Amino acid sequence: MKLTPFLFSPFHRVAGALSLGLGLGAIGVAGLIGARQGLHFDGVLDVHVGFRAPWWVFVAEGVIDWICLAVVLLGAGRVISGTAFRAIDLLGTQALARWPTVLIALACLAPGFHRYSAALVKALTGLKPGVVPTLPGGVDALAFWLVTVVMLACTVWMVALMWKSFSHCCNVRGGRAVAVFVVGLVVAEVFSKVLISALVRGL
Amino acid sequence: MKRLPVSCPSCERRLDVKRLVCGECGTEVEGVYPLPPLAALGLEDQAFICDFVKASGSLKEMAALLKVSYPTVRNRLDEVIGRLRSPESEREAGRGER
Repeated sequence: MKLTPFLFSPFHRVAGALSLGLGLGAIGVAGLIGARQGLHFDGVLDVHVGFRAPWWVFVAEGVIDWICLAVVLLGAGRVISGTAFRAIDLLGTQALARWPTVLIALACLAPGFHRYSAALVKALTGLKPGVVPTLPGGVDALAFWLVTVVMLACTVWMVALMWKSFSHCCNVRGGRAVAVFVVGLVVAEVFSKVLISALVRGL
Repeated sequence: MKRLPVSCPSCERRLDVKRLVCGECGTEVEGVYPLPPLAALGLEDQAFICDFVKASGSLKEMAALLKVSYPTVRNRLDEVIGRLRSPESEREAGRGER
């Protein structure tokens, strides 16, 4: 298999129940790796270092992110698509589109990343007028900025996969489809934030 | 393999059949007959439709045969349907029914 189609068009070959199984597996793995380090995927496009919680909270956050976007795009697809597409294909490929979160979770295991994040948060929350905060340099800073670049790249890649999934499964393209996808992404982000807040409040 | 030309090389309009010949006795029939819509499709589309019919119209079976996903086959079928529904195809089909 060529690299570019594998990276950006995997749904040409994989969809349906297989993609759902692989995608849910990836969401679970990303959640479990995140649980080790307090890394929350607390929104369709969010990743934050936060509070410690039971492992299932981290997995549930990923599942909520997936289901929110998949359901919103399923509804949108039914409205704008001119073809009869299967829900399992969109649900499955949307789950698989989240697999870059595994790479994000792995990247955050880099030594020094969490030390620098904590120092940055401390410096920003304790800002005083006229005082320049000091941050650790060296390996920690390098790790932090490298991980940030990996996070950004993986997030862009994940959005590209989400779009490919929507476009391919519903057979839609063009400006109208892109606009519907962007609106769907925003709506799903809001839904996921609300649901995850409710989940965290209930702990 | 010789390909059946379906479009005019000059104006790109769909070609009609003017002469038919019996390969056995050489009898020739002359007239102007529109190509059937399926014959007017490209070779790849025709092969796809043949495979689709052989698979009893099962997109799932087609996906397994072509080693692609179900939506890929569905989209390919939509493309062929689009070509069959194109204005020229519908005009040709109308002429054929007369």
